Amino acid sequence: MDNRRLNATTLVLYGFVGLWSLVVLIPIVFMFMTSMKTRNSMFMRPLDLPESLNFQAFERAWGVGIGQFMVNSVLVTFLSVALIVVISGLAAYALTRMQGGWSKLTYLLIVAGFAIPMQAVLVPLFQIISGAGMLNSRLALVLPYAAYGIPFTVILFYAFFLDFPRELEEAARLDGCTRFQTFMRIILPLSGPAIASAAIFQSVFIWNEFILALLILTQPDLKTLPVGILELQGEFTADWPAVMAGLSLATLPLLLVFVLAQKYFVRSLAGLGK
Amino acid sequence: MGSVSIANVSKSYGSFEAIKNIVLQIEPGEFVVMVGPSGCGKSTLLRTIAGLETVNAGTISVGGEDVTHREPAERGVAMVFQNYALYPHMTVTGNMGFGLKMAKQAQAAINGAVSQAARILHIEDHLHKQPKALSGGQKQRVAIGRAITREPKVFLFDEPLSNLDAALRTKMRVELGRLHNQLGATMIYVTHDQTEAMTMADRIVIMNDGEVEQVGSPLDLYNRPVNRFVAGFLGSPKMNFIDALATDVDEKTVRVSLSDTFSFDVARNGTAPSPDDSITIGIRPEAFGEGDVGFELDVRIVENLGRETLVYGTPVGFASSESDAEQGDIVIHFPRQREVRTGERISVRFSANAIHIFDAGGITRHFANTCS
Ligand SMILES: Nc1ncnc2c1ncn2[C@@H]1O[C@H](COP(=O)(O)OP(=O)(O)OP(=O)(O)O)[C@@H](O)[C@H]1O
Ligand SMILES: [Mg+2]
Repeated sequence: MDNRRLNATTLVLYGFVGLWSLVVLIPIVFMFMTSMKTRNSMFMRPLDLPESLNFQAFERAWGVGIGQFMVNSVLVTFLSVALIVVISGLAAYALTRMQGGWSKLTYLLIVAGFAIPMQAVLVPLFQIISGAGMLNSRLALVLPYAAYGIPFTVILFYAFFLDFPRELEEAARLDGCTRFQTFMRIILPLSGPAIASAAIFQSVFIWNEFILALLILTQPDLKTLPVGILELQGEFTADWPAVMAGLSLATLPLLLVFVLAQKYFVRSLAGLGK
Repeated sequence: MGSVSIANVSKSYGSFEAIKNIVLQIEPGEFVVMVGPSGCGKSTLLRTIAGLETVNAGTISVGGEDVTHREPAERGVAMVFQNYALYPHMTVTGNMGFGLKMAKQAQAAINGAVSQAARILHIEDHLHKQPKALSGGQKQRVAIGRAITREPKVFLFDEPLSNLDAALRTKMRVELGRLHNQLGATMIYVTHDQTEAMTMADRIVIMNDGEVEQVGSPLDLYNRPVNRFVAGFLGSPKMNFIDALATDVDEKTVRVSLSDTFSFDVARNGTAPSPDDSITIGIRPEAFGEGDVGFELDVRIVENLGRETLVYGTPVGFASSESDAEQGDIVIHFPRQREVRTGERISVRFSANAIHIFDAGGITRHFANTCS
C-alpha cells in the first residue's frame, strides 16, 4: 500500500520533471535544428529534421564577427565575476567575523541593495557612465555588473562563512596565521563549492545581460554576444538560420561550463558548501 | 617545559561572568586536569590561556613571561580541540607541518619535526593521507602531532578524547600519559571524564560557576574535599548526602542525629559545628560494609556489574537530602557479587569514622578516615 503510493508519487514527479525538461529543451533543439537548415526548408517545414548536416549558416554568422563578440563577452564576464567573487568573499568574511551592530547594519544595507532591480536605475546609471566619459568601454559594463552581482554573492558567502567551523580558524591562529592568511590559506581553499555556485550564477546573468550592454556599447568591436547577435538580425533580415547559428554559438560556452561544473554546482546548491 | 601562572583572571561575555578572578599556578612539567560541570568555564579558561579569548582582568604568564596580550602563536602554547579541527584540504604531513611553515622554518626542519612526531604517535603510515581518510583515533593523533611539532612549552587539551569510543579512549589515555612522560611538557587538560581526571592528573582543578573550588592531587581531593560540591563531584556513583543535626559537641566528639531515634558519635577532626547546627553528612557508597552504626534499607534497584554490585534503596528512618534522589534513595557499593533482590529489606552497617560532615554553607567540618 505504502509502496504503491510511493510509486505513484514518484511517477507524477518524473512526469512533471520530464514535461518541464521538454519545455526547456524544445526551443534549444529547435534552435540547433534551424541553424543547420537552409532558408527555404526552414520556412517550408520548420519542424522537420534538417536534410543534412549543413554548417553554412554558421559560416555566415561567423562572418559578421561572432568571434569578436564572444571574446568581448568572455572578457566582460570573466572580469566581472572575478571582481564579484573577490570583493564579496572578503566583505562577507569581514561581516561574519566583526562584532557589534555596525556589521549587521552594513549587511542589511547590502541585502537591501539586492532588492533594487537594474531596470529601475538604468537611466541614472547611463547618465553617470556617460558623464564619466566611459561609454563604449568594457569597464563601463564590468563595474555595474559587479555592483549588481555583489549583494547576492555576499548573502551567499555570508551564510557559508557563518557555518564555517570556528575551530579551524582558531587552529590556524594558533599555528601563526594572521586574519588575512587564515582567509587565504584555510577559508578560501575550503570555499570551492560556494565560489563555484556564485561564479556560475553570476556568469549566466552577465553572459546573457542585454539591456545595459545595448545602451553602453555602440562600437561594433566592443559589443557582447547578446547585442552583437541583434546586429546579425538587422543585416540578414530573412536569414533565420544564421541568427539561430549565432545563438547556438552563444549558448555553447555556457553549456560547456554547466556540463563541466554540473556535479559541483548541484552539490553546492543542495548543501550550500557542505 | 614551562610554568603557567594565572593571576586574578576574569572574563565576561556581556554582563555574564564566565570566569571570576581565577588564581592558579602550574609548575613546569605538570599534568593538570580541569574538571567541573558543563558550562562552568573550563573551556573559557583554557582558551584565555591559549589567547583565543581576551581577558577582562588579570595576567597570564607562560614560562615566566607575561603573555596576556600576545597573539596565540606567540605564547608558546599548542591546543588540541575536541573535534580535532584538522585542515581538511591538507594531508597529514601538511597539517602537522603547517605551524612550522607559517613560522618560516626550512623545509628540512619541518620534515624532520613531522616525521619525529609521526614516529612518537605511530602514524608514519598515514602521512600522505587526507584527514577524511582517517579514523577518529588517527585524527586525534594527528591533532596531537600538530601540537607536538611546534614544541610548545605548554599543551592545552579541550576534551580531546570525548569523541572516541570507550575502548579507544582507554587506549589513548594511556598513550597520553606516556607522551607526557616522554616529552616532559606541561599539559593542561579539560575533561568531563572522572576516570581521565583521576588517572592522568598530577593535580586536579575543580571548577564551578567560573570559580576554582579546589586544587589538589586526585586522592587529596577525593579524601579531603573542602566542600560539599567537590565531595559530590568526584566519585561515581557519587557520595550520599543526608541531612542531620549536631546535637552534642564536646572536645573529642560530635553527636550526629539523623532522626530522634537514630544518632551516633563521631570522633572530631575538623572545625566543630556548634550544638544544634543543621549539618549534612556524606558517606561514599563504598564506605558501607563493616562498622559500628547499623540501619535497615528497603532495596529498590540492584545493579549487578559482575565485579561489583550497586544497591539503591530507601533507608528506614532517614533519607537522602539530594533533591534528585528518588524516594530518598541512597546508593551502596559492594565490591563483589551479592544476592540481593528488589523489595528485600537488608541491614547495612558503616563506621562512624567513614563520614564527612558539612555545615549548612557546604563547608567541610569533618573528614572521613579513609585509611582504616
Ligand atoms: N562566546 C560566548 N558568548 C557568550 N557566552 C559564552 C561564550 N562562550 C562561552 N559562554 C558562556 O560561558 C560559560 C562557560 O562556557 P565554557 O565553554 O567555558 O564551559 P565549559 O566548562 O567548557 O562547559 P562544557 O563542559 O560543556 O564544555 C557558559 O555558560 C557559556 O554559556
Ligand atoms: Mg568546554
